[in-house]
Amino acid sequence: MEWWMILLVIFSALGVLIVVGMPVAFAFLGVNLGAIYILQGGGRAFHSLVLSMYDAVSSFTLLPIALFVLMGEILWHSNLAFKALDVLDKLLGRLTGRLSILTVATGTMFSSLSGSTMANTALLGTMLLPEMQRRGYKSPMSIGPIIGSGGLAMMIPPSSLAVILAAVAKLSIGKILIGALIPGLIMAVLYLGYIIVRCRLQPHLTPAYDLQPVPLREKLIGVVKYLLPLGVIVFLVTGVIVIGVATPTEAAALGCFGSMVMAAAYGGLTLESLRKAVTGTVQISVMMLAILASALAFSQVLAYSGASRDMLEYVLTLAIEPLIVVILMQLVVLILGMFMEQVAIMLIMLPIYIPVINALGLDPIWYGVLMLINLQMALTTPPFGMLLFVMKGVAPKGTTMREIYMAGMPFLACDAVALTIVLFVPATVTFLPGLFQ
Amino acid sequence: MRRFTWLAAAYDGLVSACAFVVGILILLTVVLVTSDVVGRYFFAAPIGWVFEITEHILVCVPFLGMAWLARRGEHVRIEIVVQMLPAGWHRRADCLAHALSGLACAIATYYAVATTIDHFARGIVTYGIYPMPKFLLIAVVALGLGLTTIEFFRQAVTAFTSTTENG
Repeated sequence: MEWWMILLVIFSALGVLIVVGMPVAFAFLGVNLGAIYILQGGGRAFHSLVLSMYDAVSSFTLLPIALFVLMGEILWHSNLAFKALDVLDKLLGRLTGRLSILTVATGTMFSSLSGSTMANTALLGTMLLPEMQRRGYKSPMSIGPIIGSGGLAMMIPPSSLAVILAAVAKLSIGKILIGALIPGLIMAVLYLGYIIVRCRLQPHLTPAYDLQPVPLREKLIGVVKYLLPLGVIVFLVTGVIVIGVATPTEAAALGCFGSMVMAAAYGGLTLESLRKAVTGTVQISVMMLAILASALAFSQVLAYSGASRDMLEYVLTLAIEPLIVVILMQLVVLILGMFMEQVAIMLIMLPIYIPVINALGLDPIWYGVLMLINLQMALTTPPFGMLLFVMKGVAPKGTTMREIYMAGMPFLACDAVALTIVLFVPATVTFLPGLFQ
Repeated sequence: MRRFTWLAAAYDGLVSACAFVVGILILLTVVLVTSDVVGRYFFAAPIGWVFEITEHILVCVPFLGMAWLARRGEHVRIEIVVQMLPAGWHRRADCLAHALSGLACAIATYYAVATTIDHFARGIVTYGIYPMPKFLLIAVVALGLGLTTIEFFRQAVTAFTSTTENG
């Protein structure tokens, strides 16, 4: 059978199972079972499938997936996040569109403390949206910045999805985490730039309101009491990886421990808050790891069928610029992202893409970060971007999906600009990992 | 009938207990890995078995939590097409999706049990400083898949009953 025929059969089967509503993890399992039966005749090969599911998750490097989520959940449920937001609010002073700017600043800060985009968006939506609506902010400047900034958790370390990407693509987790930092900050700056320009052009979107002046002493106390300790957690997670003191897994554990100590020190670590944080963590971790359990077997099936090797040979015979190949690959991810979930996209595309990237002589870390940006865009791309629905869940009653879609669009355009910058300036990704090798 | 109610309650209790264990295990990894790092850097005394035990815990997380997540309907699903269907067909599609998921899990459970028995019979142990019988870990895979099989078939039956009652 031709390589394209094998790929067509495998992906069609996967597509059908997913379309009828099977959970992604079990659709992969079904395809793996079917492919092993057809290609290898079943029998002992099914034992290998079980062992491959075991091997896929039995890896020390995957622990940050759970721990990066736990960190964010603890900071959220212990109310530490609310206190930090209050300090940032006081620091900002009088600015046009100050609450929208505050959203991006808070979203960026929480992204450096949490690995979950869903938790980040829900947190920002719960904390800031009611206040923005009370102040008369229109949805492009209230819902929009929350959708954009919520997704930054996928880029700015710690990021659970970056760990999954590195694990599936067999890349250095530390390099991917650190490499995604500058692109994440570029995105945050683009969001800020857009908000400032739009508020200047259409001031009615963010009506000005009176502010009680806050004494400098109170601001400084807030910074020392709430922001600096959070800086310690950022150091425990990202700093120790950069200076080479700990592996990403160890850094994740240190960050979690630091969050717990801090939450306890500020009186926010109750049994109830811990229960909520752990429940949220179990939910997201099981969801991601269950899909990941099928990942290894799926890539083994593709390798065994010979389809990925033949496709690679075919791509290498094409007289196309490597950059065009990368752009075409990104377009496919972008389209898939409109309908599919991130981990599933990684599992489907990375076993095919990474060998192509290596064969073309391109930097796989750079490509991995490009894919992360693309997947972050998928989170906010209509009609099925997951964060759009998280936003709907926390938005006030009466907020329509159309309103959410329209509010998120300009931030999606900012993401596209960031993607283009990273595509043509790979140093934005490779600079930091190169510095701290 | 009462016996089935008792069985269902026991099954639900087991699924919840497994999820509870997953939560405890995740918290345990925080303590273990942090202690290892602190021990290594400040007391030159790393804990040798942390790496291995963490990997074993990571096997437990998805498999012991799988059925619990299925019961809550929180496994990632793409519902684009299903949501566009009329209510009756939506229920039928749900029934089909649950039944297919149950079938995939049932086949995987069968082979997971067979692999567990095979590893037990051959006395295979894990690699590492502190080897342990590998069948214990494969048994966790089998248990998780088995519980998830029951959960999906139960949901398929519920969806089927709803379809026959409401069309």
